[in-house]
Amino acid sequence: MDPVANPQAPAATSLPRIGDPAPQFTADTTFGTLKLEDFRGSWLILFSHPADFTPVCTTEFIAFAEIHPQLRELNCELMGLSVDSVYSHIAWVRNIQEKMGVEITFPVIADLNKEVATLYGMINPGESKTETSRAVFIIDGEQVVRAIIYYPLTTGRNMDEILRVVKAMQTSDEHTVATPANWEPGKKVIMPPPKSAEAAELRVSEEDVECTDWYFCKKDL
Amino acid sequence: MACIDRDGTLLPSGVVLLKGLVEQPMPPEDIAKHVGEPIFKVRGSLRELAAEGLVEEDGGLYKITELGRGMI
Repeated sequence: MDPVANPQAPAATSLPRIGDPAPQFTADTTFGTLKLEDFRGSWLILFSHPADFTPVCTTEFIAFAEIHPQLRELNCELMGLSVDSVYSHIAWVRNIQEKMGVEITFPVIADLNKEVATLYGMINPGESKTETSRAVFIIDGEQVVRAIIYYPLTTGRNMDEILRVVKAMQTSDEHTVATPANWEPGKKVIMPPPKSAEAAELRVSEEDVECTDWYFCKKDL
Repeated sequence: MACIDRDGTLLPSGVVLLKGLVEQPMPPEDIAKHVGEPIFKVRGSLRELAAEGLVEEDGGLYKITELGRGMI
C-alpha cells in the first residue's frame, strides 16, 4: 500500500542494497550491548521478526536455533531483532527453552526505538506500522550486504533456503563461479561466461566441463 | 556477551575471559579461540571489561589489569 493510497502510513524507509556496506549500529541485545562491527570477520544473518511470544516467530526461532550449528560451521552467526524490550526477549527465549526445550544460542536486538529497523528498512508500513517484517539480511565478513530476503507476517521462513544461499555465495566467492536454480552443494556449478571469442573457443574445448553452448557451461568442483 | 551485570557483578563468562588473559596479552581473535567463544561475543565482552578497568587494550592486544586480577 503506498502512502498515496494510505496517507496515514509513514513513508517507507529505504533499505541497504545488495553490495552496499551494511549500516553500522550499536544495540542492546540479549547478549548485552553489541556493535555490528563486533561480527567483522564472520558472516552474519541479521533477521527481524514481528513480535515476541507469537506462534510463527516462535517456530522460526526454534528453526534458526536448529540451523545455528550448521551456520557456525560456515563461519556465519545469527542475530535476531524486533521492536520489543530486552526483558521481553529474555522472557521469551527462556519460555522457548522451558516449553519447547530449545536453547536460543544467538543474540536478539531490543530495537524499541526502531533505530536498527529503520536503518535496514525492516518495517513495511503497508503491512504493519509497528512491527518488523520477516526480513533477512545476509552480511559477509567484510560487512557487505550480500543477500536480502523478505517474508510477510503470515509466512514463516525456510531455513533450508537460508542455509543454501549462504553456502551458494561462499562457494561462488571461493571458486569464482555462479550457482544454478535449486543448486545444492555437490551439484554442478556454472562457469562465468567467457569474455572473448577466443576464450569461448577455449571454453567449449575444455575437458571436464559440460557445455550446452559456449556461454552456458557447468562443471563439478 | 554481557559479562558484567547492571549492579557491577562480574558474570561467569567474564571470569572465563579474565582467566584466559592471566598468562599473556592476546588479540580478540586469539582470545576467542582460547575460550571457545565466537569473536563477536569476545569483542562485546572486552569492551565491557575495558570500561570497568578490568582489561586494557594496547596495540590490539588485551591484557588483564591488577583490578581484573583481583576479580578472579
